[in-house]
Amino acid sequence: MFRNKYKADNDTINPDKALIKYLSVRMKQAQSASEKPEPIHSVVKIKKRRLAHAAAAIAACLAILLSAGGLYLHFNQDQLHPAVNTDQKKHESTDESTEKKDVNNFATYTELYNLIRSMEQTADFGSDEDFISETAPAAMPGNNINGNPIMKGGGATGAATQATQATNGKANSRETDSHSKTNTQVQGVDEADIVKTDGEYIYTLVDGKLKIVSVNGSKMKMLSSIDVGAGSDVKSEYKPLEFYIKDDRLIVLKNKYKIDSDYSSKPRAEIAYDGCYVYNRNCSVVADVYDLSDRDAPKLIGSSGQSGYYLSSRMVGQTLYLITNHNVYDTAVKDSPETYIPMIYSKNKGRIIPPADIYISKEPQGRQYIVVTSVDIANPDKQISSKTVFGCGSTLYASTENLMIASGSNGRNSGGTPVAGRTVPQVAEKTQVSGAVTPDDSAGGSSYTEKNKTTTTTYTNSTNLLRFSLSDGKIELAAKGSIKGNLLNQFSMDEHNGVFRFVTTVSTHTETTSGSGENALVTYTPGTTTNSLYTLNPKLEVIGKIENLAQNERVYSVRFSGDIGYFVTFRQTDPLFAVDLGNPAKPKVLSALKIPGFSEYLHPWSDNLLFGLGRDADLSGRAGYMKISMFDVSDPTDVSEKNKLILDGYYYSDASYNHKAIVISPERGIVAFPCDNKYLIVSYTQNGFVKKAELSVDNYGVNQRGLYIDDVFYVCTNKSITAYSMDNYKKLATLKF
Amino acid sequence: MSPESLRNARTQNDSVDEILERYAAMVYRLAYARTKNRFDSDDILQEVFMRYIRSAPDCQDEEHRKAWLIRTTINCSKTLLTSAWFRKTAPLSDTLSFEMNERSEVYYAVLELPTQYRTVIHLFYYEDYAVAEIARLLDCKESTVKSRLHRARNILRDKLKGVAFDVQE
Repeated sequence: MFRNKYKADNDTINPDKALIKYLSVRMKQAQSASEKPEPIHSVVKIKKRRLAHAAAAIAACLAILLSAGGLYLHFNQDQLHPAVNTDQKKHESTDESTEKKDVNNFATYTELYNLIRSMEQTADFGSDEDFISETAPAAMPGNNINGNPIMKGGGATGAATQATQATNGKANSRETDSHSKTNTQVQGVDEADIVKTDGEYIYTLVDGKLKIVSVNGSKMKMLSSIDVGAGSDVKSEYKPLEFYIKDDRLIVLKNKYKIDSDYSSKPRAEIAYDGCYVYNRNCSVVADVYDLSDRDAPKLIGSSGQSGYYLSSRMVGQTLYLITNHNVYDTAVKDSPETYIPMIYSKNKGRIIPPADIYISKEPQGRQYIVVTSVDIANPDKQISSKTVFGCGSTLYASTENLMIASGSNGRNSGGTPVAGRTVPQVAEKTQVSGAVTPDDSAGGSSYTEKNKTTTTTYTNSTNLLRFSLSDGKIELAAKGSIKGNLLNQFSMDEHNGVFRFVTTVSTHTETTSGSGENALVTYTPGTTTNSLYTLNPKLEVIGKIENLAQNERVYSVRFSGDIGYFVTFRQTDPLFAVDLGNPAKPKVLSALKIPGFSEYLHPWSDNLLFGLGRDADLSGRAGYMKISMFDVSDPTDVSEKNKLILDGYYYSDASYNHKAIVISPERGIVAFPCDNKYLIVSYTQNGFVKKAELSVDNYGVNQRGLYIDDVFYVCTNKSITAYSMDNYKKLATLKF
Repeated sequence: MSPESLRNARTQNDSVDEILERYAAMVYRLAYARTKNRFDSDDILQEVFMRYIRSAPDCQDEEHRKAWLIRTTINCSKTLLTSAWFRKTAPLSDTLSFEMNERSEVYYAVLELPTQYRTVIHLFYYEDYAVAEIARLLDCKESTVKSRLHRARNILRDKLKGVAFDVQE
């Protein structure tokens, strides 16, 4: 669809992060100095001026950042340290005396307040980057966490055995069931979606209503429609996001936006259409649990919530894990911890997360918390456990035992930590000769000044990791680590036999500063892009790695399957790498298959076959039609593309970016996914792919889901559910909402 | 604490970084759609936000702020696009391959449109503005926006013939 594709294309166009950073500094300077408007003479002139400004700003920027880095270090010499209980009795009143305590040992509200304030005053760039040199001890995050056993069972070996059954990355949606399930990453770990089925009913979230439809073959009937977004008024706005079905329980997750009083005079639609376009600083996420024993009349039996924007969630057994990002703005008021500490809500009562459950990341990246809570859906009015880390996180992976939260940009932008800084003195000219600058008298006889120096700094992006252990709803922060590069998505992370595996795209850029002060010139040069694979132990220490793969390409898809990891990078042709992770300390590239195009989603089809969904490409690297491939991986040292089908005329599928949009069933031998303005069903047999059906849909590819129950295939959109016979894909019936 | 006290604790002034985080990409993408190259987009990005700081517009809400930034972006790029220097020297640079990971038919087709068409297409399809809102942003008649959209769609449809995009929507 044009709109989707145009948006997707635009989303890849981003301003340079370094540019944003110095723009930020310039703006702040202008704000404080109420800088006089520059007369605009001509475009060319402006450019020159800017460069001079840029240099000054960059110099200031680096200086500030370095000092900020030092500050964090001072606050947190013990890395992530949980607050101790002795302080808990004081937190209610945020006792002033806590300030006097040794900040290295306590994370009190006051300490956090001071930290937040200090970040405002120095340079909070609010981005996901930090500029603390990796070569300095400050940036080498250790992994010992005071007072927190790394794993129950006493360490790595215990963890390893526990994790074994937990995550076999393989064929997770494979099932012998009579109906399809949401395509999830890890077996035993459910992920929320907008359409689900339990084999008897279809549940779908449409325009804020949760509709329950009994299917009974093609005789579909709507049993009930719950207004899960109810309760919105001029003061608050609910936006249902996703839901879970677990036996007779329905769990609906929704964002709740509190609307500023200033807005309340305006029509709501104008303020908060679609929720995401309107910025609102007071957001929380609510999990409503309904009893479905009578599906004609579902009953709300409880709800709980927490501060922040919905990041993601997982469900393991009866336990829901809810993860949000909570921002702190310039509004922190010392005596009101609620202005800078996230809250958890149950039964409409809020409470501030106690200090014992708050951690401060060693390198807080902006004034942001990640909040993790767990709820037993049998007892939904109360969180089992809640934890928050001051720092941030953007991508997460969960097995049944561990929750991994990664922060860093999501792999599309460069940026990050300077790994090497060196100063290259150029052939220095006497300042008198240049005439452009005044001689520096204070230099005390030196005929040279700093003004002709060139400083080159290379930055490499990186990802910080936090591991939480999960056990029946108990969440414990277990380890912290860091790897080079950025992750693509949740599939870039995996856990197998107690080893955590990551595939990243590592990119560098170089900043060269010539001269200093007003006459400095800063140039940004994008550096190399390479790809890496890291294996980490439960302490999140790197134990094995492969680096410098596929120069100038980036990762397009990743899938781990037991001892083998697959990933695709792309520039012109698609190298599909197969990596042997049998010995995590020595990962080894087994093969790199080069075929035209690339896969954006990989899924283990069987022990010998790997399915890929992506795009075809011509020799210049220009992406063409959608393409699906079946790779023969029976011999990982010689992976081949066994079958492929180019979907002529199709360019875009939600499934490329959202694994929940695809149905993959090796048992039924089908793959089904939305594609442009159709819904495609493709069968796969020994002889290859055969396009079975191109079903017309009524909502242009947005939020379509397919599912099957027995011999009927259903296509769910926000307007209707249509049933098709799986024998011939003839339309059987349509239920319009 | 009541929601009331939370509200009272807030100030109207968002920090520079928050504003950049929310709008830098928006401004940049619109600038790119208009100037077709990253260097000018970099300049416009800076100019727009520096103007924002200097003129400190009294934005009543986020929509207002967003609209202010979009208008300023258009104005800044207009100044640039109509300058003699730009007309004489601006190459149709292919820096896009640097920005994008792959060449996109759709984005290229849009870039080949005349500037005015590009702008309405961008505001309509990327920023999801309605025709009436675009008319207000561009300070022109709704019918003008409609006809530009219509013509742009015809060109796009022609360019993307055989490609399964529904340009209408």
